[in-house]
Amino acid sequence: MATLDQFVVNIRQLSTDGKFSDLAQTLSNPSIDHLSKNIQYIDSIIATFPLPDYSMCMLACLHAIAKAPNIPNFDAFLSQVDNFIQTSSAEQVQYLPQYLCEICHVITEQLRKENRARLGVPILYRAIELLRREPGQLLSIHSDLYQLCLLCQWFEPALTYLDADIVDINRENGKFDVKHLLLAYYYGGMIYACIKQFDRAGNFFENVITVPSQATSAIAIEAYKKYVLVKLISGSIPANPLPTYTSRTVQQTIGSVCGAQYTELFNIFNNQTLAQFDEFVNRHRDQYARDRNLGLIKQTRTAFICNSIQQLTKTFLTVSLKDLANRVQLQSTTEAERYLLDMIENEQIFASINKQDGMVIFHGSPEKFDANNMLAKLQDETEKRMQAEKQLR
Amino acid sequence: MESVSAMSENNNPSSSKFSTGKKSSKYEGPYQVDVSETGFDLETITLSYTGLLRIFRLLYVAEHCPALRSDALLASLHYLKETSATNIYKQVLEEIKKQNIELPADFDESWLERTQRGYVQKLEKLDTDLRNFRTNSIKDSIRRGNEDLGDHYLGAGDFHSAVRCYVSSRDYCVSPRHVITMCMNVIKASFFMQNWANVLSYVTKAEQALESLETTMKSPVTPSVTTSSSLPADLSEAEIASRLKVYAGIAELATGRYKLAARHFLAVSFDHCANKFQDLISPQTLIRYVCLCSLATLERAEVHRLIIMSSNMKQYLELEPSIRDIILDFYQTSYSSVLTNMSRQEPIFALDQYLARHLPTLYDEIRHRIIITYFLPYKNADMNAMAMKLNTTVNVLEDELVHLIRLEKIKARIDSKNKILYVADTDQRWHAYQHALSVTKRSEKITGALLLRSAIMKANLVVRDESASTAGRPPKMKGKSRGHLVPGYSSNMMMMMDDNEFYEDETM
Repeated sequence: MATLDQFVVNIRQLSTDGKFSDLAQTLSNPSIDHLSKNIQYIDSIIATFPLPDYSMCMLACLHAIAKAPNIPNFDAFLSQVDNFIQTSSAEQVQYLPQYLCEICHVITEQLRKENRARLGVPILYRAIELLRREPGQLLSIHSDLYQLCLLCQWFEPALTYLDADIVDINRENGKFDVKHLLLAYYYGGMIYACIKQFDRAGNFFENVITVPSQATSAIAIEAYKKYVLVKLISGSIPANPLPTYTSRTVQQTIGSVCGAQYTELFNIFNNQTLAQFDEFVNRHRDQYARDRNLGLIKQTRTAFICNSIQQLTKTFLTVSLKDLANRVQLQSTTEAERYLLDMIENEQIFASINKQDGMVIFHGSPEKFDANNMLAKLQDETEKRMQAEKQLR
Repeated sequence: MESVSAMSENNNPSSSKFSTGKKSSKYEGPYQVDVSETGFDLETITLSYTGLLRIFRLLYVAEHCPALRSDALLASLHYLKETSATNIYKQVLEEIKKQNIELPADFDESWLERTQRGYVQKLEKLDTDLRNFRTNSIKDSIRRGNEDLGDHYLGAGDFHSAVRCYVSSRDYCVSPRHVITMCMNVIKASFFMQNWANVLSYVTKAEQALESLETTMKSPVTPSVTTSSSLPADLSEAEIASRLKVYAGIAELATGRYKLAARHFLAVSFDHCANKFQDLISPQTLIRYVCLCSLATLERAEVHRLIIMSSNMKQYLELEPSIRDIILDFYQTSYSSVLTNMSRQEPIFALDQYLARHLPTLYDEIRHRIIITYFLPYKNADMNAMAMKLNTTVNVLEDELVHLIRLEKIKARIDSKNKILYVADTDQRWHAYQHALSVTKRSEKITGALLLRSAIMKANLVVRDESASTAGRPPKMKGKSRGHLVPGYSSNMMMMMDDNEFYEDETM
């Protein structure tokens, strides 16, 4: 008890003196981890630390609570943390980022188990705001935030962070595990897939796969599976399934684990018919179900049909609806018509349907690139690219 | 044409390859051919060929043509007596008995035993000779001993041991002539074994040796090294070169490289082929190969230049008027007669063991080439007229055209309503703009990825296997079984994905 009091006095003193780095060192020193040993008194200790001056001490206490085997009153703890985040001083907290991150991990885990993800989202959101030094910095809290957003299907908070390009990673005093990086991008990719921005989702999954690795992580494998599906849905089928800077171990593992079910899909997409696609999917349905990718598979099927129809636009000028249905192996002309209408509305193809004789006429793209806004858009994009290049250097 | 074959698997090494493999192609596996309308006669084979090849060809015909089966089997039995191929003899005899064919009156029952005994005796003698030579270690006699042994095996149909002997004689070859002989022998034996890779590699070796031989012959200061040459006097270099071309051509044909095969065959001189190559190929067969391979792969102008205008090829064409008609019709664009002739000749082609398996591919290729050549001068073509010219219906033609357009062999688009084929017009400007947009998108993605990667490098993050580092070994494992497989998180992820899919299912 005496040592505890002494400890508290010590850190209080350091706090008031403003010796934050010393304080950080003292607090994170595991041999004098009095706080976690004396958990039962923690509430009284907390009461002695008014914010924002004693943010670091408060943070250390909260961290000790979080690390304890079980948290007696979780909701109270949550509100404590929330309070803390909203009122603490960012400068002090920057010295001990890993504590805040670990607190966030524990919160996330707990909320996930209790299925109350929605509560945690604002807390984590504010935590990120507090902790990050620049908009392009990645924290491990990001992966937690994305996880909770996925669980409660509330994407806006995540999107604000997802849309920013990451240029830096906060090392959190050595506690930033590469796992969090992988997870952040993995969940980010899934969020994009949910809101149907498949291009960006594909990019995110690709980033997961290309993280330098000497051993393969299960996250990377799952990311690859989703990557394949997302790429197919977005319709951009790359010549080389993986970028060349993927580490060899990852490539090998992917080849051996997912090759038959997923990489094969690329070939089928390009060369084969809908019936073969369905048959292939049915054969591997168990695997897909185990990976919980069935929803994506359904979307891939639609993409497959769209792809087939688009190939037809390249070979035909006019074609009868019945013929179209036959060639794409759809069930009936009404189904074919439905797909066509969808695609025309989404501007994936340009065609008109003549109901009188059941003919579909394919036009070229009406986009002439004459309008000013198109040129302006091009110019805009080019400038943005040049900016990014400069930043890269 | 699929057979309910009563013909057993003839374990003849040259036809064993045809009994295995996928039966998807029309002429693989057991099939039967009806040659009644083509005037095909066994005498074309018996007269044009000699030696083992004649026997193999006859056996192939026997296997696949029921009408000529008995004659072919009996003829092959007759010719087998001139060789010492006792294994094949036994098989043919079994087959004859199975087919209940009557044996000729002069059937010699004891031939089999006699030949076998003689074979074994000679083998022993050759073996002992070779061993003596080896102890004497005179290079040339060892080489010749190996060659003789190889020839002996070859005559009996044991191609594997023959190749072995010939290859071991390689170490004792001194002059280019020796090398050439050795190569020719290996090629011959590998040819019967259908080891095409071997054939091709030794053909290149022999050609190189030929070149070095020519240079040594041309240089004035040549000591006469040809004293110990074991090349028979009648095989000049030109003939050897032609022979190599034939071997190479057949090897390329068998491995499906039709363009190369065509080029090889076109280089074979008629004089050699007609007179000297009877144990290898007949001019009629050669011109058949030439016709199919070149029509499938060469441009119309090349066909004209290399075949129709060539004096060499003209001599071949005179021997086979139907082939000549096919080629000339192709050049004159009367495609329907080309196609009808080709289908008429199909049974004969199917009886050639090297050609049969590739027939469907070759025919398809020729058909495609005809369509492409037909459409070249047109801006839009009426599909009805086209179908008439090509002996098909419009629907079948349409499917073929779709296939060709997909493969990008024709740049066209089909107006299915009016059944017209239009040349595809490409809007360059539109493509250029599209390309620009896609490039910006790609660059956006790449810069994002690069920024991230530099951040990762800066933070020094690598997916590592922790259990390995504690054991002190470098973390180099493949990561599957003992890798950083983060088991705890997998269960988390499963939960994530479940909800994810729920959402996607609803919005479907």
